[in-house]
Amino acid sequence: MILLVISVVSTITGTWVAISFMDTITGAAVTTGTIKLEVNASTSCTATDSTINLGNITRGNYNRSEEIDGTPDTDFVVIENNGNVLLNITGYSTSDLFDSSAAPTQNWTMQCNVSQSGTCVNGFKIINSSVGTAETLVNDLVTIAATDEMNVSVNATVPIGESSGMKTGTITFVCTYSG
Amino acid sequence: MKKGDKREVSDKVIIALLVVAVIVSIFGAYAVYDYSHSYGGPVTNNIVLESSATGFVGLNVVADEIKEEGVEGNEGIE
Repeated sequence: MILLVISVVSTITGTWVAISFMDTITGAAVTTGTIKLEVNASTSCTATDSTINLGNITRGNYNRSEEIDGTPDTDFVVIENNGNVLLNITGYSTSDLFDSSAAPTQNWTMQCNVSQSGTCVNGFKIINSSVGTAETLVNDLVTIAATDEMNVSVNATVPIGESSGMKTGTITFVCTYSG
Repeated sequence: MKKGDKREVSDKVIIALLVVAVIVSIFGAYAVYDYSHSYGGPVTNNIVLESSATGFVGLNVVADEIKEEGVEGNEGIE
């Protein structure tokens, strides 16, 4: 009987001691430890300059970001990689810039003018109208602050039958994790 | 009962003590297990794979230049 009581008391006491020590041992170690952590990938991009003004254009003529109203000028959309992974950036538009020419159209094209890193895809391409057919602008744009931006250039040719007045278009830039 | 005789403990008391010991042991083992899994648990990879930005393009379509030059060679036509 005595042995049984001793065993029961020992069991209960041992359990209580084990539990009570669990919250008191943190920070007590003086030996070297290894901390292992994993930083999650974050894909993020923003337009630090989101507007291009192509000025006045007569029908049948064009302006582009690199040359507006016949004189060398620059007005680009600037996309910055704000995440912590390499980015591929594509662009598309679901709205029409011109009333008389529905997208996708040769009257509204874009290209990567320059990128601080990665592979800038030069050459004006038609701005397609769905994310699935979005044109690639840059591959592997890095995250380092000094080299994480790229410029998008737009070329607009006014159709012959277009009405006068202000025209506005919206381009969506999709930034995807390039691995 | 004479002085010095050992007291008999019923089987029920012994069984009750054993049951208490078993329950406490199980509870203690679970507490230690739960505590050990509260740190260093599996890392979840909440990877955000896609983001987007928006750009705007504006232009003004202006009227064509009106050509006001007369048609040459029409002088004298009545």
